[in-house]
Amino acid sequence: MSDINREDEILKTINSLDGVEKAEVPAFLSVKVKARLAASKKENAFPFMFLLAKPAWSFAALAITIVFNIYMVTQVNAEHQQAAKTKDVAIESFAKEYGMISYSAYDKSN
Amino acid sequence: MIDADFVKLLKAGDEAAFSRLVEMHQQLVYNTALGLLQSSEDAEDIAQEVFVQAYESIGTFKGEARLSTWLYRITVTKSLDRIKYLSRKKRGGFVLSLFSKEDSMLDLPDFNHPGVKLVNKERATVLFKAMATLPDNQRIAFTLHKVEGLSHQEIGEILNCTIASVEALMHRAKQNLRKLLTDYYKP
Repeated sequence: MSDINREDEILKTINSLDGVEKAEVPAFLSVKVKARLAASKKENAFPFMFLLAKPAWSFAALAITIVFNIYMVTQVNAEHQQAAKTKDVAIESFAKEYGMISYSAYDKSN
Repeated sequence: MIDADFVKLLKAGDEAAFSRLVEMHQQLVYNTALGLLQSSEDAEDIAQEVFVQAYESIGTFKGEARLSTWLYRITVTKSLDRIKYLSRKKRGGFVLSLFSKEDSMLDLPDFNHPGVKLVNKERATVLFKAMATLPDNQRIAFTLHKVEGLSHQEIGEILNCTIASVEALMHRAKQNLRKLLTDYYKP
């Protein structure tokens, strides 16, 4: 291609969109817009629905829930044990104070 | 003023008014998205997103610009977001995109705009490939002018800039296209 021809081709290419007509809008676009709008309204009504939309999100949410539950159970257990210990010590000291401890004859320590 | 009354109805959530908005502007939105995205599937998807966003954010429309200008802005923004998303996805992620070069014209797929005259089909396909490699603002200005047939003033309203800025963008776009096409047609 000579320089003149190339220059002409470049110019024609740049102007190749002159007089371009509008593309036809796909059928039922307005119906699809309404459907999407309805879906969007639903999504806004339940903002956390996205957690269930993708398996990765669901598993992540489930894992967080399980970890949180395990933490809470261990935490509550530890508190219970601590409370039981404190209660035993309190009863023992009360009993000692008023001489209410009855020692067994088999108790070696006494 | 028709726009003002119409906007009032839209803001009140009138479904019939919204249907009319879609009917009146679907061609504008779809064709703008098609020119920028160069894919009928993506353009249709973006057109749907644009109208959903228009419905949801009509409350923020102040009436300073025309309704069509506002829709053009949403369409352009959404189309650019989609282009960036597709580009990142194609390159295999954000991290890779930081180190990879811009697309060359030859790597891009062919796009045949259905409204181009038969005699110009082949050249328009080459031009669309070259347009896809332009910087965002030049690409928008050139597409709105050539595909949508908008004046420089209308483009300025959409891009929120002066006519002189639009003219500068168009000039730079043409210069860049000329460079790209010179390389493309090099023997």
